[in-house]
Amino acid sequence: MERKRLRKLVVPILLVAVFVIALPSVAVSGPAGLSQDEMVILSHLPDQQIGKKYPTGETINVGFLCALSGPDAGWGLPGLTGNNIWIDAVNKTGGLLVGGKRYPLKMHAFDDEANAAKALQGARQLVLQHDVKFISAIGGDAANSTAPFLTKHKVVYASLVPTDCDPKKPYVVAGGDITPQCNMFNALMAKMVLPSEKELGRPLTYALATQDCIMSRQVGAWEIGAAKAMGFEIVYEKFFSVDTTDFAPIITAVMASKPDVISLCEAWPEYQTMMWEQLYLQGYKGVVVQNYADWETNLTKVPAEYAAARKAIDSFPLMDDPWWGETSWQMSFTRVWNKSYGPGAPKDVKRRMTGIDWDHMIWLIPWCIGAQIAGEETPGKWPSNDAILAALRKLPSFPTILGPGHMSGKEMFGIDNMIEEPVPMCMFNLEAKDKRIIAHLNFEPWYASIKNVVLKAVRERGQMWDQRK
Amino acid sequence: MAAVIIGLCLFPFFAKPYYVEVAMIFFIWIILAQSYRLIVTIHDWQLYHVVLYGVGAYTSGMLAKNLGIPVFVAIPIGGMMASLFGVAITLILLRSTGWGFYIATYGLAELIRLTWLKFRYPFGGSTGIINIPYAPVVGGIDFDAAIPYYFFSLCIMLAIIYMLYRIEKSRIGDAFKAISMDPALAESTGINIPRHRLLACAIGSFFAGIAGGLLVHRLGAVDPKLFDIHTMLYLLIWVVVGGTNTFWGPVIGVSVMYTLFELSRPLIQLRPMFFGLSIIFVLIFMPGGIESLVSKVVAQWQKLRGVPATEAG
Amino acid sequence: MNSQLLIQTIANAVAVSSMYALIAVGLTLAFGVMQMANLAHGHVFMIGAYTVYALYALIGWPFWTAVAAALVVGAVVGLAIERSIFRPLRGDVVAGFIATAGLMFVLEVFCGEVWGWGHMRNIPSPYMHPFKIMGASVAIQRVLVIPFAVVCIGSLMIFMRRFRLGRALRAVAQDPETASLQGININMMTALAMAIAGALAGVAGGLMSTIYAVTPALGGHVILPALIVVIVGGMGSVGGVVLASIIMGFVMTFVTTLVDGVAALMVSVTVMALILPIRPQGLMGRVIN
Repeated sequence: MERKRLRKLVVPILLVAVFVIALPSVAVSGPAGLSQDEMVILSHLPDQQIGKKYPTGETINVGFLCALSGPDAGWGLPGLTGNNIWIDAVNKTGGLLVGGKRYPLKMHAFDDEANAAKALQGARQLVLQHDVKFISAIGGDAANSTAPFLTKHKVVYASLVPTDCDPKKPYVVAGGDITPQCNMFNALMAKMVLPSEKELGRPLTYALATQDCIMSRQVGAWEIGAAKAMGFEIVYEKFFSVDTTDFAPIITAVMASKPDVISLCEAWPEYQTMMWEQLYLQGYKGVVVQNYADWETNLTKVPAEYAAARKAIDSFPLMDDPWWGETSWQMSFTRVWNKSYGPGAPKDVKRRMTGIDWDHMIWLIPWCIGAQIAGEETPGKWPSNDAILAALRKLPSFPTILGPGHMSGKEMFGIDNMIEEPVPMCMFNLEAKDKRIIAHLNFEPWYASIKNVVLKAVRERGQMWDQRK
Repeated sequence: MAAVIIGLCLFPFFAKPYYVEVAMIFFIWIILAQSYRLIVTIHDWQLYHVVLYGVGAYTSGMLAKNLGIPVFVAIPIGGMMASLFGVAITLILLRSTGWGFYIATYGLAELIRLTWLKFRYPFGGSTGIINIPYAPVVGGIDFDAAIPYYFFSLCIMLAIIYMLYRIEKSRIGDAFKAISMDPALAESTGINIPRHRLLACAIGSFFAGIAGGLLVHRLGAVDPKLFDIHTMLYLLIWVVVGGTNTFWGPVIGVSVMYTLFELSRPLIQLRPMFFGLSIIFVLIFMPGGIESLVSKVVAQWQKLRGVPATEAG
Repeated sequence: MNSQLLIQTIANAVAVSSMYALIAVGLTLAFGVMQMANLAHGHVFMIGAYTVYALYALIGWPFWTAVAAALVVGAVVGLAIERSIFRPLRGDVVAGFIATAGLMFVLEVFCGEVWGWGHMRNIPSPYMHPFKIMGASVAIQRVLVIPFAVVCIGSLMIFMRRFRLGRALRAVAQDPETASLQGININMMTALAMAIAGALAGVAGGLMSTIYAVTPALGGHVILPALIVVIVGGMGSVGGVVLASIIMGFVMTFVTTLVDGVAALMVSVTVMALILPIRPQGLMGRVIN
């Protein structure tokens, strides 16, 4: 008797339970195994209409032209993961919806070994053999060497560094790295955490030590300009060779100039670890700022207390920083990334997620956004890159990984080819033993107040876009 | 032979544009390999050849860009500059032999390369030089475009091969052969070895410099990474695999190995390992290179046909 | 240069010199015995570093056990190279040279494929705190290289003077023809030389794994200065190499501090380029006909 009654209760309860659990995922999961997190990732697109069928257009090819091997692979190779996540998500819905057709995306990678001449060879292959319309790249010398060819073929080249933008290269776009804005903000943040000139009775001193590459030279000039505008006296400004393996003499020389702030600027991930080690060993007691800090590696050489005491300011936020919030785009991305590339995953890359993993998406996604908007003007046809860029420039704001962005850059670089977005500033957090976002800063108003000093410093160093060879 | 040339002439009209670019790089490698063979057979294996290729590239590029010298004039000047450096290095190392010599050539080559790396002005430092002028319009033909430049490089390559071939067959070539086969004997017959060595180095380096000029005006850019030890090692691999005993060895080596190089692009991370293993294999098991294999096959074939065996080479 | 900077730079220089001594001694020994040397020697150093990474950072063995393992691994790799490359190519200097150059490619890809490309491997420093002397601070890890190098090279020198096998080795290094006439087994000597060279390179790599950026490109970085030290010191001479590594270590460190790393390398290469025509046997090497 009792068992029967129990069964009468249990079965409906089970049914309800199954329903309650399954219904949301049924309602929310899209076609072909698209997860909820992936749908969040796709939410940056204004008009993807997931689930609705549209005729399929031709495959749209995009390129990835970075160092995939050799010593510089750290800046390039990880970028494939982020781009792949985006492209897979888009393709799971049938393709990018543009002008009433769904266009599947395909990425082709070419290893340019961070070499300008090889980059040109790669650009030729990507365009002539694979008909790519958009290339994710790192920038620097490669942006210059590929520009004539890519301009001729009207292919968008998305560099990470806005300092590559100039009117002679109308298809070179940037914004991923939010450099030099974040580097310039380093000077502001350093000033805020240091005692004032008045208290010390002398001007504050600033040192810049980073590797000699075209990005560092460009970004360094802007950062020094900002430091000067903030009232710092520049006591050291040198670029060490990319072949350096022994950082002890370099840090010795930097510390000899007695700086209150040492900026590692664009120091590559390996170098900044080595430099942190030497700063600790040689007993540096000032503030350290940089573009990108890798705490997992750094903490194998430097105690967490030392890092916290140095403030350790940088601008490459972690995607799983609690700041963003559990339901944020960033957290969804983190979950998808861990599922495909994290420990134990099918494509386990045997490392933690770095900033580069998502850095290249910062332009790939807006390019897709622009395509959707431009596509409204030319239904049934994939829009030209001119139309896509024009559409983006018309938008007062569009979503980016780091927050709402808009096209900008005419004053700094002569052409509005840069995405301007809120700049995240991070500081080392002792409890978390990692970096944490402490503020998002708005660049344009601050820049307006200091631009005269900055532009003068950049010109002096021959790094203004119209001064480049 | 004629068939090959006709094939090369027809190639750019039927192949995809990307392969035309690859072909031009192929011609450059052939020039480098053949000119290297000249130096190797008379003097020794040296590690500065690729850097002299770089000297030609930098010189030609800088002259064309900074001084406005016409490209077709700048390229030969680049060749002469490379030749000068080649002779200078040979003179400095005249007394060195063997292993110390190899390391010294590597060291001096690095010295030149590091100079480009260190001095932002005028060499552009680690980022190199960009905006180097392309070849101009001559007689209505725009050499900026791929196909005309393809024919230009093709002609240069054929001319260089022809010149090297003539040298091989000439009296000087006989002296070179004598020196390479038995230096002591050659000296006793009155051949001035150092002078012939310098001559060979001058000629070989000149052609390496020309190759550099060809490269730089196609790329429009140059940077020190193009001429580092990895590139030199690849040249060594192409030449050793091809063999240096016969004149055509390096051409065979480049043809086979460079094709494999481009085809193996999908496996790019494993590619250096593949080439490292193949060079070790060739050195131990097939020291004569592919050309020795070819001669053996040809000799067997002739034996089968009943033709009396002819002298090899 | 004020005194603080001077002391710090001297401290840096001493550390660098001991490291290069450890790396170059094996190289010069192998050269003395075979008249050839292993261009991939820097890569054996790198394998030593990766060994410590694998055993200490990944699996969790104690640091010094991992370093000892790196020594063994280095010796094994050295023996393997001798057997597979140097023995078949004995006498052919060119071939040996090019083959070891090819080996560089192979080992670089091997390390990259097994342990990953891209960013350097994380190896925690077993001794994080600095060693302070007279106002200068040096990593303890670097300071340890000095007694280590002294012990290793000292043992090697005692071995080559007091033990029969070692004396045989020395004999072959000084005069291979006479030595073989005296019945010394050349094969065994070359194997021994390569094993010692590999062991020293491996242990140096293991020790320095926490100091250098451990990537597949590490081997290439280390070989040129090592070669310069060997040539300046004299190929075949252990004493010469010790002297040369002190001189070159100081030259490189001071130039790097005062100018930069590229200039330091250029100066070192120039020194080598000057020594070769003027005194081809280096500081203490034997005169080669």
